[in-house]
Amino acid sequence: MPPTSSPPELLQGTLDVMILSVLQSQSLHGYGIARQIEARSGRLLTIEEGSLYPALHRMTKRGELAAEWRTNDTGRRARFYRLTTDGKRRLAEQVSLWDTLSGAVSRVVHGSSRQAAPDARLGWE
Amino acid sequence: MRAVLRAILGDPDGRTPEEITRDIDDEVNFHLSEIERELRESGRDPDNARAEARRRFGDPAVYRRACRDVALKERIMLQRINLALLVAVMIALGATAWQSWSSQRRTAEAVERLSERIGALGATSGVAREPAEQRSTTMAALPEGAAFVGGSVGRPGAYAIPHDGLSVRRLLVMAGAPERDFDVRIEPSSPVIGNEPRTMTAQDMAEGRDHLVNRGDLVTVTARPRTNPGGSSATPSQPPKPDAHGRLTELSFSPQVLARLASLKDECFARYEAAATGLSLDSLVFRSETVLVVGEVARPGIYHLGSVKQRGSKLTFADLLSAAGVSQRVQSVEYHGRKRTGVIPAAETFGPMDVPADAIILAKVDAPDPLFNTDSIILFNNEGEWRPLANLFSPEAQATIERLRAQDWRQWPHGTGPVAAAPAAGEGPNSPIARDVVTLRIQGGRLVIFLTSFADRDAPALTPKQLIRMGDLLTRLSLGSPFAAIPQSSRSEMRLTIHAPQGSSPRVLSFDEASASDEAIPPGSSVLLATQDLAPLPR
Repeated sequence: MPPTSSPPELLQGTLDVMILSVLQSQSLHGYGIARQIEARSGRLLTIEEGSLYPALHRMTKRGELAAEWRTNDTGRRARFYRLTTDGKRRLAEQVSLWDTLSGAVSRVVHGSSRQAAPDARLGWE
Repeated sequence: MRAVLRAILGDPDGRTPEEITRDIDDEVNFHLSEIERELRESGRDPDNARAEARRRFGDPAVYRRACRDVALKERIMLQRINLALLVAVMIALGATAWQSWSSQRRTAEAVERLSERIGALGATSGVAREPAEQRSTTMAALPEGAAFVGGSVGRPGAYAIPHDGLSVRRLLVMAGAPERDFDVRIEPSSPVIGNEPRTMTAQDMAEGRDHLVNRGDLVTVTARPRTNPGGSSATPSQPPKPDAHGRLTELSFSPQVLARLASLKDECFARYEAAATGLSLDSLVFRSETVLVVGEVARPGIYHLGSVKQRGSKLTFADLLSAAGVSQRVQSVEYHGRKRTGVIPAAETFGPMDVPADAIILAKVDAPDPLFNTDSIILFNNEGEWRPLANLFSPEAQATIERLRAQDWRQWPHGTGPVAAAPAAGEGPNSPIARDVVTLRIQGGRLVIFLTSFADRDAPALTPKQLIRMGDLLTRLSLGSPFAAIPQSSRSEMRLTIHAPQGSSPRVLSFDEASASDEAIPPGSSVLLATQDLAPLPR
């Protein structure tokens, strides 16, 4: 049985939404994105950092990200990624989906039925 | 161009594959070096920092390849398609080159053969100019028992000649001479007094003159430029267009030929070739896909097979005979091709037609239809000349026809048809219907059909099957007889007038009404089918 202290594995598809989230407020290079994910997750989520790059290239090709070469604050040349309009739209969709999904998982895990059942009425009374 | 490529390949910044690879390397290297820098700043030694950076990053080669695949996916696919296309083009080029080489080789062989022929032909046609020894060489090269045909013919060469010689007309047909406008010179191998070189023209042949070609003769055909005697702008070389039945050329037979038609049944095309008016095989052989249809058909002529209306997927004898106006049951069909002849039994006429092009087809019919059986007379009067189209050519029948012609048809007594006048020995009419008489006549440019003596009014009561119904009568008349040649517009002008034997006034029906009617014609009636402008019948 694996030790309970090992970092949890990323769910399929969560890498894209994390990259989009991290780039929502700033443009970053790959190394910066990895550091942001690590920091925002409280070092609970660690990824094999090389796996960022195929995702970054795929999202760039889909038009969700735009990339350009710039020099960073240490004067080194790095490729910076930023969100495009499509990327912002995709982020909104993914966040909504994630909220729904995580809420549902949470209710299953906690066995809670306190939340009211969805209203099945078709219109106002 | 770059923008177009970018749009097609989906590469957002239009980088080349090399630039993409370099960017990926730089990006990965930057990431690794940043991790190393971070670790060294936290106190790790360089080797340890490099190893840890590799651990955290994963295998750089794997991620470089993955990035490259993402970035160049479409280009890689395009490269594969290009490679496949290149292989296909190479194969096609190879096949074309081989075909070209083999075609050139065949052409070279053909040219060689042709030049040999031309050499021989030159020796032949230029007798006056060529040295005598060259002509002797050509003669020496002739196979024994052959004559050489050269000049303006489609198939120059040596042709086998029978012992007693061969008609120059037949020889030229075989050699593919032009239809008209040519001269022929026949030179014996050893000219002696009484066997000098002879010359003739296409006109001579058209007028029936002919010469015999003997073994060893040299026959030279010289084409003349075509003249247009009428000064018309129409070019005589234009091929004729087939009519609605697929017939290219209508044949007209002289009365002598018609009189011999019955006896010609069992003979082959040679008789027709010699006797048919205006018909020579020369007009046939150079047209592919044509056949000559003669025999007991309403529309003898030269038919273009491609224009004959087909009922199935393949042309059958039945189609051709239908086009030629044969409505009766066919007994057999003979075909006479240049290289093979054969007889097609009735049962096989509905199979695919397999006859050589340019064949002559001779149809024989059974004639079981009471309206068109051998006891009937069908006459067709074309501009004053009566021509029988069925197969009653006996002198007795002709005499009866003549006698009937002299009378008003309404005066024809019942039972005085040709059968009554000249029954076959030991055979009487097999039914009252056998005495029917049908005549056709052109009056004022319109066809008039007379039909009378439907049945002997003294005959015993007819069974329903023996009765002729109006619609059935017109249907039969419409099938295959000369009646089919009447334009639809003229048919609509026609009226069917029925005089019943007893008393009542005549019934007049339009063609369409009569065609649709199921009413039986009273036995013994006289029936007139005529164009509208014919005077009403007095009763």
